[in-house]
Formats: sequence, C-alpha cells, structure tokens
Amino acid sequence: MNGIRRAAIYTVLALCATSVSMAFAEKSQYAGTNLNFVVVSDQFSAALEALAPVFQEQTGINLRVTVLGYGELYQRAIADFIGHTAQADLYSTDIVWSCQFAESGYLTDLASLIKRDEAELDLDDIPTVMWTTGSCGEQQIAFPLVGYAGVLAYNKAAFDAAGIAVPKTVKELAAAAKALTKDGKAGIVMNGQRGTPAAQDWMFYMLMNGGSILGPDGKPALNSPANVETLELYADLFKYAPAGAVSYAWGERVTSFSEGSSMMMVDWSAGLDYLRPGAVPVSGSAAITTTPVKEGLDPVYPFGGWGVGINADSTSQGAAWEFIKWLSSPEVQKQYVELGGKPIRHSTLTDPVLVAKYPYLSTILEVVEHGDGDFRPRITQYSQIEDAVGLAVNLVITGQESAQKALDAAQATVAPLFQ
Amino acid sequence: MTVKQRWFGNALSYFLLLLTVAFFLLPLIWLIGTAFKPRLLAFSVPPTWFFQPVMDNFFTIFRQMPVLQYLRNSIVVAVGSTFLAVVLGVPAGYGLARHPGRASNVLAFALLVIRMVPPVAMLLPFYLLMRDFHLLGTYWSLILIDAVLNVSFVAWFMRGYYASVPQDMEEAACCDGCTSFGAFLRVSLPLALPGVVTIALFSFIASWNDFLFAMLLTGRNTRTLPLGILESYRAYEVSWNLMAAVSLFAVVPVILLGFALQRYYVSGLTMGAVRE
Amino acid sequence: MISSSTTDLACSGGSAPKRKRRFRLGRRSSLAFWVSPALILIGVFAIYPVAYSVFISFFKYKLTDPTKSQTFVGFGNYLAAFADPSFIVAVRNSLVFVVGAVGFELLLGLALAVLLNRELPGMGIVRSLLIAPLTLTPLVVALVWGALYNADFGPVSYYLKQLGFQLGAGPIGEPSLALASLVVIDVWQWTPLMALLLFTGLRSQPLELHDAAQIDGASPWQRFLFVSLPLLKPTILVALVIRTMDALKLFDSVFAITGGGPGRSTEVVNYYIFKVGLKYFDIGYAAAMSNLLLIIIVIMSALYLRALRTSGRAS
Repeated sequence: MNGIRRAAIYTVLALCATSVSMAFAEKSQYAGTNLNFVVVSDQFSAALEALAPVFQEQTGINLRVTVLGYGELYQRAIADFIGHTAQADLYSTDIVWSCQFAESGYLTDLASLIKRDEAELDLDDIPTVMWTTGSCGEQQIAFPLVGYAGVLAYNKAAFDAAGIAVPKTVKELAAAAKALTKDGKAGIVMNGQRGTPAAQDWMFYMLMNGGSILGPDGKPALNSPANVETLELYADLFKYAPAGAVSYAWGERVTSFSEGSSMMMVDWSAGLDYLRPGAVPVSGSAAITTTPVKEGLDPVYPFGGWGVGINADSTSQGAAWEFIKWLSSPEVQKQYVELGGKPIRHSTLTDPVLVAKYPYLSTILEVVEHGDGDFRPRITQYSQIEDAVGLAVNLVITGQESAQKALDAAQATVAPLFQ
Repeated sequence: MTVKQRWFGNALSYFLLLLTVAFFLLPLIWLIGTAFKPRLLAFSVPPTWFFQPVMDNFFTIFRQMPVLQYLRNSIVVAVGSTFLAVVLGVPAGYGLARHPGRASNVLAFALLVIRMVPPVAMLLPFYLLMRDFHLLGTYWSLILIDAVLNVSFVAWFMRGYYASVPQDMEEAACCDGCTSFGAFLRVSLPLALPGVVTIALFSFIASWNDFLFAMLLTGRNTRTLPLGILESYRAYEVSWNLMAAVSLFAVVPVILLGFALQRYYVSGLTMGAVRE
Repeated sequence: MISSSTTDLACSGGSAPKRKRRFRLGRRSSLAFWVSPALILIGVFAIYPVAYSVFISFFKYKLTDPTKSQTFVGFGNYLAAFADPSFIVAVRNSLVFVVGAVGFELLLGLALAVLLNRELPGMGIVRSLLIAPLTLTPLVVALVWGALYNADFGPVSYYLKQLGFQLGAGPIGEPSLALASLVVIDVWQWTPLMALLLFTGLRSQPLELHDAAQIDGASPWQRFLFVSLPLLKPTILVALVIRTMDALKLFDSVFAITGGGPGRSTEVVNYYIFKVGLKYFDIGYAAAMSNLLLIIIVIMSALYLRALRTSGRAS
C-alpha cells in the first residue's frame, strides 16, 4: 500500500472517529437537568414552547415553559425573588424592569459569562440597542430575548384610496388622521385606559415629538413644555379615534385596527398578526413603517422588548446559561422567527430567506439601527412614573384636567421618589 | 279580584318575568354564543346572533394551554377546600348554636370578620407562610387559604341554621346514651342537610371562582381555570372568542351543579339566613 | 331556646329511669370541643397573615427596596392614608358603589321575590334559571360585560345607541357613567341572590298573619308594607351584611375592565390596595389601608347585626 492511500484511510478513520465522538458530545454536561422558564404571554412565547422539545433533543436538558400574563408574571417573579423560593430558573424580563431587578440582585449578572463566551456568542452580530433589554450600568442581568420595534401600522388600502402619503412627521400624522376620519372610520387609534396602557402609548408619541421622561439631570421632568405639548396633541388625536378609545388597552386598540375600523396605530412589532394573510379582516390592506419623527430632529425610533434572566437563587445556573446561548445562536434564531419569535441578531434580520418571507423585517431592522431603548427609563421608579403618567394622560383625554395641570400633578407625585 | 283583573295581573307578571329572564340570561347566552363564533365574527357590528357555530376556538385554546389540566386543578382545589371547610365548619356552627351566650356571639362575629379581611392583606404573608411550610406550588396552599376563608362563613351560616332547628329530636335520640358527637352525627347533621348542602355549594363556588390567591399560590401544575381565562385574554389582542371558550369550562360545571342542587338550597337559605 | 328540662321528660319515661343521664345535649362537649378544629385551622393559617398585616402597617417597608429597610413609623401610614387623595377618592367610590349596588339589589331583589312568590306555572323554572349569574366567576362576568360595554364593538353600546342614547366615550369610557356601569354589573350578578333569599323569606312567613290582615280589610299593598316587610327584616339584614361585605371588597371588574379609570372614577379601595401592595410592593402602606377598610366593613356589619338582634328580640 503506498503512502497516499494509507494517509487517506487514516484520514477517513479519523473523521469517522471525530464525528462519532461529536455525536456523543452533543448532549450537554447538564443533560437531565430540569429548567423552569416563566415567559410573558406575548406572541413569541409560542415559539419558545415549540422550541423546548428541540432543545431537549439536542442537549438533554428538560426545559419547561410556563406562560403568564404581564401582571401575573411581574407579581410571581417578585414574590419568587423576595421569598427566595426559586420557583423558576429563567424569567422573561421586560426592558423597563432592568435596573429595578439589577439593583435588588434578583437575577444573576451575566456580564462575566458573556465575556467568557464571547467567541461563541458573536457579539458583533447583536445590535447595540438590543442589550438595553437587560442592562443596567455595567451589569447585564438579562440577555436579549426579543427586540420590539415601535412601528406605525397603517391601512395601506385606505391611504391609497384617499391619495395620502404615509406620514413621516408628527404634523403629517395628525393631518392624515384627520383626513381619514370619515365614513364611520377613525383615522387613528390609541390606548386611553388609565394606567400602563395610556402611559405606554403616550410615551411613543412623546418620543416622536422629541420629549422625554427624564431631564438632563436624570430626574423626572414630566411637565416639561415638550411633554405638555405632546399630551395636548395626544388628547387632540382622540377626536380622530373611535369613541371608546379613551378606555382602550392594547387588546381593543389592536382589534380596532385589525377590524379595519381605524386606519392607523402606533404599535410594537410584537405580534403583527395583521400582516399575516387571512388572519384578520384588515390583512392584505395593512402595512407597517417607521414611526414619524418631529421635523428637524434626527430619526430615533421606539425600541422595547424582553430579556431572559437567570434567577439568582436558581441551582441550575449552568444549564440556564446554556439555554440562553443555544436560543441566541444564529441557527436557532432562524427557527425562532419562523415559529413567531422576534429576532435579536443582525444576521437574522437580514437573512435573505427570512426577509423574502417576512418583508417587514427590513422595517424592524431600520428601527433597531436607530432605536432608543431608554425612552421609557429603565429605572427602579419606573412603575410609579408610569402610573402617574397613566393617570395624567387619562385625565386629559377624558377632559377632566388640562395637560399642564395633569402633568404638574404627576410630576409632584414622582418627584419625592428621587431625593 | 275579578277574573279580568287576575288575568291582567298574570299577564303582567309573565311579561315582567320575561324581561327579567332576558336581562339575566342574555349576557350568558352571548358568552356561550361567542365561544362558538369564528374569529372574524367575534367583533362584528351589528352583533351576529345567528351564525354557523364552529369549534375552532376550542381547538386553539387546547393548543395554547392545558385546559383540562386547569379544570382538574380547579376541581381538586374546590372540592378539597369545601370538604375541609364543611368538616370543620359545620360542627363549629353547631357548637356555637347549642351554646348560646356571649362567648358564642363574640366567636361568631370574629369568624365573620375573617371573611371581611381584604384579600390583598393576607396574600403576601400567606405566601411567605406557605414557603416556610414548603407548600408553595402544591394544591395545599390554595386549598388551605380557601378553606380558612370559607370555614368561617360555614360556621356562621350553620350557627344561624341550627338556631332554628329544634333540639328535642337530638335529645330524644340519645336517651340511650350516645355521646353528643354521636347525636350530632346521627340526628343533627341529617336534619341540617339542606343547610349543609347550601353552604357547601357556596363554598365550592367561592373557591372555584377565586383568581387573586390562585395567581400567587399556584405552581406550574396547579394552575386553575380563572388563570387560564386571564391567559386567554392576552394583552396584545382581546380574543373574546377564545376567552369565551375557556370561560365555558369554568362556567358550565358550576351552573349544572347549581341546577342539580337547587332543591336543597332553596330550603337551605330559608333556615340559614333568616335567624341570626 | 328549648330548655333542657324537656330532656328530663323525654328521657325519663323510658329505658332506665334510674340511670343518671349521661349528658345534657351539647353540654358535656363544651363549646371548645366543637369549635377548636376550625379555630386551629384559622389560627395557624389566618391569624399569622392578619397579625402580620397589622404589625407591618406600623412600618415603612417596600419589598422591592434593595436595602430592605423597615422603618418604624407608628401611625404614619394611617395618617398618610387620610392625607392621600387617591385613598380618599377610593373610599368615596367604594361607598358610592356599595350604596348604589346593594340598594338596587335590595329593591330589585324584593320586587323579584314578590313576583316569584306568585303561584304561576313556570316559576320553578325561572327560579332555577336565575341561579346562573350567581355561579359565574366574577372575573368572567367582568370580562363579558367589558366586552358588552365596548363602545365600538359591544352589543350593549350598540343597542343603546340604536335606542337613541348618546354614550359619548361609552359606558366605561365616560367618567360620569363608569362607576354606574360597574354597579350594573354587580346588580346583574347578585340580584338573584337577594331575590332568592327574600323569596325564601316570604315563603316562610306564616299565612295566618296575612289572612288576618286580609280579614281586617288591608289592601295587598298595605299587607305587603305592614306584614311582609317587617317579617322580612331579619332576612333583609342578613342579606345586607353579606352583600355589603362583598361589595366593599370589589376588585374583579375594576381589575379586568377599567384599571381604576376613567380618571379616578372607578378606583375602589380594594383595587388601590392591590396596586400599592402588589404592584409597588409598598406593603406597610397597603397593610394600613387594608386595616382601615376592614374597620369600615366591621363597623357596617356590626351595625346591621345589632339591628338584626334587636329586631329579633322585638318580634
């Protein structure tokens, strides 16, 4: 046998041995562990439930996904953390909870793990703004799970029929809303219900109009002139919204748009059911674009989303981190999108196959590249700020209070929390 | 009263009855109807009353959540807490009725006060208590809190009930010298059956319908139907049709139970509620 | 109460007249015997939470505070509650709600009970059907009515508009209508309970009194006012206690439909306590407010029950 053939046989044998050992090495060192993952009931939760068996098959780790509503999730999580009951190993955490959770030490700081495994993670592929889903100062208490783009959803058919261009500025938005309010249809729909619904929706408009919750000193400036103006504008828009919108929360808002009763809404890219053919009455006529910007300002778009954090009391830290790495890997991210998840990687957002199938990904990419994840301050006092804003907005849109007085009152409520 | 007056009176009665029944049943009918409506009809304006029913909503919710498991859990918790409340509460009410006096009045009122406590006040301390007992996420945590809240009402109600049940039969039955507990079991309890059934039904319903405590005290495997209803009422799209479908599982069993037991609580309410 | 002397009579003519009676019914087993199991259950699982709630109400304690500091503030939380406009408004809303809801339930329930008392074929079926609202999960009831009330898609709003009513932002969108709309929901669910209680009360009234009044020449209306109603008083009071207790703890519909809005018009005390305790986790303050609410409920119930006892003695 000459040398070349011998080398070839040895090479083939070596390859066989490697692939066999690789097949065995696919199961992780944590195989057999049970992981409890509590997730919010947004649309991406279905993708996670579908991926759990795949994860188990590949690593041998048994991932159990529990889906809870937003309020319930928050209460459960807090109760779990302060009681140190370790009821779940992984939690989905809203972007706005970042610093509250970080300062209280509820979740494990992932910064060192990320540094250690950075080669594996390909960090450059994750847009900077994605990290706001779980960062607080130097800490990273949650890894990006889904990134939401704040977008303007509009009824393209109605716009085309009326010959109006898609609004790019706030002024154009108001004009379009007015023009499209006819024949029993509303030009635009927003959340008006007191509390989180009104606050969150209004904050979209606050960002679009160049305002902010916090002043340059990091203290709240709820009653700044820009904010007062935005609140007056928001209240004004209700003239072009359905009659009941003053008590709407996200569900009714999305329904109104999906039924074709309202022609526009600013929404998170969390579900985008109205872009799915045949799902709702407005499918086929609906489209999304980036949110309007105030004239003369650089484009900045609302960014939100959820991170996944490891319970500091969890006894399966290693397995949990392994899941996070697995979920965020490019291959799994592609499956994730197909199943209803919202991607975190640049490569996924620009993947040709996916973009061909889901053209809206390009809008999301644009938002992410100019996204502001801090327009809703991710600080400990956020929950109370949101509540104060939610009350103020509701009072103004129901005509019970002027914008200035309402925001002054809100400012007075939250200022003591910051001494 | 003349025949004509009587006829008019009856007609008016029936008319009012019809209005009443319509008022109280239409929302329920709407709920049942919506559960069988396809998504595209759920929000139609004007509302669609006649349509081809479909089972889609049920398929969807079974895909989205373990509805039957929630049903099972609700049954376990409701039966468990009702059993506990009745077994402990009925004798307590009996004792309170048979020992009238200041102590009895004070205790009865104290028991009622337990039920007046705003649930939120009890929620977090009870959560921590369950943690210390290692009962979090088990059926027991929910069963215990429901039992505690219901036992006081059971005792208070049965006290009123037994106050109007004459004692002679109990005393007569025990000339042969049974213990007072024996007398209770053999005579007093059967006599009070309508009352017991009534209060057991109310306890069952109260436990079945709770969601505030269930939110915090249930684990992955012990979630009850009201939580499933909240789950189906997702934040991002109000799925009235899905919510209606899940609600049917919570609503139909109890209505059927109510119908089945009505013979008892009509008389049960008479005795129990009237006397204090 | 039947005296125990009848025991002597009942038992002495019988088997063993010489044998000392083994017991007086219920006496050998004391009150403690009968109530201790229940009290133990309550003691272990309810006293601690309630006691903790009282204890923590004297502290400033936010569970989500990183420093976990508990500062003793004495009655500070209670005083803060009285100075808190949200709490004052919430108490007012709760009281308005209770008066409205329980008041209507009583009136409608009474009317319904009188109606049901008429001996007409089919009444039994109606009585059975009326059970239905009572058994429903209050959360479901709230969600259903929330959907029915929806200003743009809800059947109730639709038909009201067809009838010519101007609803503005809808039954739950208009500040002036929202609390009333919640009252309607409560009335819908609980009037059958009132009606049933009062119906059984009417049924159990001795006919002789009614006949006597009729012989005396009283009209049906007078008979109702002067015979039925006074006899019903105990039942009414018990029903009032039960409903007032529960109405003051209103939570589900505010949670599921209005979030306390529009403005502050539907924020009731129990919901505000929930927000403070389970959203802000400011449990010291929440406990103080819970205790204040409890005091209100206890006082109202005690008043009813006292009225019940006096009326019992009088009749």
